[in-house]
Amino acid sequence: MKNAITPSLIVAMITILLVSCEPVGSPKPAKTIEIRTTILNHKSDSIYVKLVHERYYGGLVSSTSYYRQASGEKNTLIEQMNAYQRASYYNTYYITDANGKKDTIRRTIDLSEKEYHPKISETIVITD
Amino acid sequence: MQRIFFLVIAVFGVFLCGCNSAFRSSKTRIIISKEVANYLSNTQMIVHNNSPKKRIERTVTIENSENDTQFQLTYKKLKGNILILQITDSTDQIRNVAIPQIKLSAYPFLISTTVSPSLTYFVLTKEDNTELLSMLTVLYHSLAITIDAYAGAGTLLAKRHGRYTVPRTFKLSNVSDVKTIDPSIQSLLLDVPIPINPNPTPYLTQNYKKKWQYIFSISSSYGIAHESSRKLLEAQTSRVYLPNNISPGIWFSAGIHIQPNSHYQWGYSYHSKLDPNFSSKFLINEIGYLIPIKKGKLEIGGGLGWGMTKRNHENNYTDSFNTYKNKRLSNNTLLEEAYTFIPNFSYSFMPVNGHIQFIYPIKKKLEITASFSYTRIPSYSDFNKTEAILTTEQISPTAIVYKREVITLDGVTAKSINQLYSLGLSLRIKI
Repeated sequence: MKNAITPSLIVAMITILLVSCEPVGSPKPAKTIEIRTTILNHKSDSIYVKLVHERYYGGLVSSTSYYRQASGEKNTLIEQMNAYQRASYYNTYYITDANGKKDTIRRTIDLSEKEYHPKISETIVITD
Repeated sequence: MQRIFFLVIAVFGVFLCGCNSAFRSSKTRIIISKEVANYLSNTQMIVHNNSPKKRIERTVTIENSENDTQFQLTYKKLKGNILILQITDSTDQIRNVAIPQIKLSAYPFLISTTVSPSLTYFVLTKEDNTELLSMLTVLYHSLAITIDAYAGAGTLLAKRHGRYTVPRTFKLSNVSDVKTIDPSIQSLLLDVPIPINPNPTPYLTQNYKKKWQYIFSISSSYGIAHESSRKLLEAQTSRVYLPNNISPGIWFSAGIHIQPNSHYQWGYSYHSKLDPNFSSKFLINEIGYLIPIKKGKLEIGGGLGWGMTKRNHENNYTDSFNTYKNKRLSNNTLLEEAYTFIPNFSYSFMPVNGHIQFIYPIKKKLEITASFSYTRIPSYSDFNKTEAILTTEQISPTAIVYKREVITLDGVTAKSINQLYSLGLSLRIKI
């Protein structure tokens, strides 16, 4: 019985153990969603922005911000949340240029419980 | 199909590697001269193991072949390093002659050493590997080891005489060596000289003892890999070309081999690629057949083993398309496929090697070799794949919206099978 345990048998067993320690398949990424909204001023002059940000996610969260954006400047709003949850984002931009001309831009992003879209980004370019 | 093919190679490779006691001849032969054959033809002969505890005897017969030019004594195999050939003539005079024997070694031809390693490798690297499959593998090994333990022990017991044979270089050439003597002269009868090997070699000593030569080698080679196939694992798809080849470069290897006779060697060699971008290391259990050519030797060999491969650096790739799932997208919409490389992800594999090398001695215990080698090795590249919908929308005369929505994020693995051809030089030290 002792002679049946040969060096080759031991090598075979070590090989099996080492192979079993190896990962099989591809790495899986984490499930989060990143929403990125950017406003970029491509006008020759500054613009004045009033941003009303509303988020419906287990209740309403609302905020209003005012800022001035120089020509060529961009402003980005970044939010993160877990995937597979129902949520809605509304961003309303009230833009006034140097000549007093007003533009209103409303953007909506809906997140579904079923679909997984890990990154959503919107860039709004304001031109002359 | 490819897996079955390599399983068959693995099994038959072992068949060809070495014989087993179970498949050896049941008889042993001693070469004798014509004069000795003539003398012994009028005698009775037995061979025994000279054991005071359990004496085993075999009847010895004379055989001749090749037009009465080759004569030999044959007897059923008998265990023992030194046997006694007892010759008795018609006048009851006796002569005892010592017969040297060597013990043969063989590859342990068992389930665990043939089918199990390759079978396990394929099961564990199967893409849809499940816990049930892993459990069945463990159960299979328990069963295989149990069978091997009983079968191995049973074979060794049943074929305990089969491993012993008389060295081919041992001959009975002189009648004086076998001529019977008066049994009353006990000293002459009992004083049996141990045979001396007139031509000792590095593999057979002066006392007819087998000796192994141990060979340590280091080598360096330049290898070019040909990518014979490429696919993505787990039914993944890509419309972007993902390079996954192995660049040409220097390989390093070190080995230890055992040479039991002048025509055969076996051992292990470790191979590694000296490349910061791609790491491939493997250990091969290999055998080789040696053919003497003038002062040197030509070795033809091959082997199987186990290795690890890892890609450390690779580029990222991105492309965009106007279709998605074979449907055309609307105007101002594109689908972007982006691949971000994931470094340092290791994979195991089973390398298959074949080689031919010329060995030339430069000193008594130092040799140099020039070799050509073929090795089948895989390579892997891992990426994070993202599919994103790109849309452009003019929402007012003075505002354009560029939207990028990532709709899938997954890991993909590109696997290539590479045929590595390399030319190398090595140094071998024999002990």
